[in-house]
Amino acid sequence: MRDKNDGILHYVPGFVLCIVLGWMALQWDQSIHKWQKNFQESEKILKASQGDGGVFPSYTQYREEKEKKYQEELSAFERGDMKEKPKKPYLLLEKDYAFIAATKEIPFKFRFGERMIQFQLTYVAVLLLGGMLIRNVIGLPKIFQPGAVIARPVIKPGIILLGGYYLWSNLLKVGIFALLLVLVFILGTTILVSVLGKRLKQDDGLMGVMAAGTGICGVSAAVAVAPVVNAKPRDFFYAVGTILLFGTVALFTFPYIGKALGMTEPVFGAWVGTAILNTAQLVAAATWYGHDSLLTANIINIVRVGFIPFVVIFCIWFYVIKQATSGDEKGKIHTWQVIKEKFPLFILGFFTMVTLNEFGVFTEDHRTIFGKQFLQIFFAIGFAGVGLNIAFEDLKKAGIVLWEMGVAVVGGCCGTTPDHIRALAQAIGGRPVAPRRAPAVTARKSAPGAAAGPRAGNPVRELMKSDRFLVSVEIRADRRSALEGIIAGASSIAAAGADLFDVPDNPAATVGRDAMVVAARLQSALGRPAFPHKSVVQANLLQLHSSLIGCWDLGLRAVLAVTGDPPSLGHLAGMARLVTDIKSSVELLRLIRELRNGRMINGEEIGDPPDLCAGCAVGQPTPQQLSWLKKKVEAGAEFAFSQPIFDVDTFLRLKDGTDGLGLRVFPGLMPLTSRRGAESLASGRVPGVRVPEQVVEQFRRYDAPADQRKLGLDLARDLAARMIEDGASGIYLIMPFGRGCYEETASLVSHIRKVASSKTASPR
Amino acid sequence: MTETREFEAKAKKVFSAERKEDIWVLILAAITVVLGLTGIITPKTFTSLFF
Repeated sequence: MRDKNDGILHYVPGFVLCIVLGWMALQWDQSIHKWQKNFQESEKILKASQGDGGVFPSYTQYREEKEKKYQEELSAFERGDMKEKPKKPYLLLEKDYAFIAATKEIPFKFRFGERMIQFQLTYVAVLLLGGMLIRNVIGLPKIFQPGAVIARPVIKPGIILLGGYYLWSNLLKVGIFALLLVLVFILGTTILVSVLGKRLKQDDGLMGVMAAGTGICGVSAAVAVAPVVNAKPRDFFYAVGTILLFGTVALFTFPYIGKALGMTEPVFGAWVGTAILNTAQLVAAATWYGHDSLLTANIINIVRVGFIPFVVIFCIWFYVIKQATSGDEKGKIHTWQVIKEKFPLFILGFFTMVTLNEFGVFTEDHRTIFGKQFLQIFFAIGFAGVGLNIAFEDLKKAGIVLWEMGVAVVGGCCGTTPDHIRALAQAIGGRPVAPRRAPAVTARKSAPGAAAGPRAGNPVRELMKSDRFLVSVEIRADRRSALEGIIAGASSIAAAGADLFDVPDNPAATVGRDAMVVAARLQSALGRPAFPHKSVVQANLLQLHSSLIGCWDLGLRAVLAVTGDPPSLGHLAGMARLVTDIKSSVELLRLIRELRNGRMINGEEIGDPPDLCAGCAVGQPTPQQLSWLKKKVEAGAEFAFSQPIFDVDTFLRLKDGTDGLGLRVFPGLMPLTSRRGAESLASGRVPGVRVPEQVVEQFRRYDAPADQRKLGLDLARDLAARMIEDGASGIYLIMPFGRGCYEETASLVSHIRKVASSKTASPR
Repeated sequence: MTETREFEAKAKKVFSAERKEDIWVLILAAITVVLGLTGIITPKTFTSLFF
């Protein structure tokens, strides 16, 4: 971190160093290009002399001959016989000409220049390789480091000035091609990484950052997307590490691969424009290859960088909106705001230059000054910064971690600073790298540790596997009621025949008594298994781990994994925050399974693994919900509680959809207590709960609250009987009556038990 | 939540820094263009910088 007292002087030494290195590299570049030209001219002279029997004309004759030829070509051009204006003749210096005439050999420095160009050791290579060598062999003193970092963006004015080379007509022509490439390759990468991540059950945080980073522009896009997808620091550094490694390797290998494959400059430009994905490295690789390559790569880069806000919007949609269950989250996207905040402003400078060129503001000289000469100056300073910031040690550390985690996707980078690299090194260094530690709770085939898989002796699991018709009653641990009163009320329900009790975890995001504590007290007092619901949006990973282990320690043997209600719905909205360490009940189910197998989310082992029987919730029996339930079963769910059901058809659809999944499904039964309540639930206000209109109609026939309450209870009794008749293996009874209505619940349990017993006694 | 907030803060900081950087970049490019258009820098300026 920078010291508070550091001013602009802090940057001066490093920046000056980059200017000096840039100048030296450009001097080198000028020299080898001049020598190469001299080499080509020398070859022509030697060839001409061989044709003349080894005779060399005098230097004056040589010069006059060249001038005469130029004048002839110029006249031909003026007559219209030649399409292109001839270039002024290139002449060797007299002393060089004399040397060739005397020795009949090309001077060494000309051959050297030709060879250097052949090896592409231009100013780009010298700065990148030289900077890298300085950094890694001699070492870059701390005094130069801050300035070397801020030298990198000096590449951008060069990109803007390059705009003076384009006209809108050819920009649009190449731009459409670039746009197609961007859409196909870049957005394709983003979508592919996101979808593959989901398929491979990778963590949203890691894959979101990787999708943005590999799809668009490394660190900038990764930073933009990280908060959207709730990436953890480790996810972020994995992504940056991948980007960093690939970008560096591509920078040094692509130009040689391009040459080996005989790519033309525009083709190479198109390739690096889509493949390298990073402004600094892309510009360096393209410039290394040639000016035409840079012209093509630059347009593709401009189009791609302009896509950053759209990739952020895609990630918001893919990772947040699509998974959102509440209207609150669905309203999270602010397209214009995202575009305004994330759009890279320097692109506007590039388009201004194109417009000025279109209006004829620039002459040929201006284009040379801006698009070739000053472009080189800006690039040289920037490339010096790029080279000086490549540290082998950091790359090595990044490589080790990426190798350990198994890199599947690669991309380029921009904006990667030593701070990022240092942070990466800190994040991964200083401690042994865990073998393939998955940030998400993912499926594992085998497990180390003392225990593995569900074990015998869990009373809840044994009940679930038994043939007994089960009644589980949800007891609300209301904060306004004394716990002793709740236990006393529940005891009448137990006496009526309830098999299990479950306690919701702050339902409707309102504060209740701790579900785990209440469940433990109920179980202890009533002698019936009780278990808490566990919500993922109200507890972070530390709390989830300790709560699940705590359940086991308290003697609880089951837990119902639910996503839970977001705090924004409850009475502490704005104060309590949504927690998304684990984003869904499926991940929580996997965590429960991991704990059962003796491991935490990060692979660390625990003693006395909690062998909790895991339950889950299922919504209305729609294809999406049923498919989601299958995922829960795959993640380890052993039983399921459905949302309240209000008609037999819905129950039958639920039964049809869940038969064969291998878990016991409890249809939810929640007696309605009033017309108002029925109308409210019929409106769809509560997600996943829908009261049919015909039920509401029945309530409308009664005005007296007592009559409505009685109707609700009667309807629930009838529905329970029908569901038992139609093959329900249990019922999940949700207490609807508010505080202190235990007697009505007990009477309903008693009725259910009676119907279930009579069915068992006289099977059809 | 702390990590999320840290990232939100970091993202804002990075984009604010990039926005500032882009403004400096635009100013630098604009100065170069003005110098070029007014004839203060010519094609010979560049070559005169080297041997």
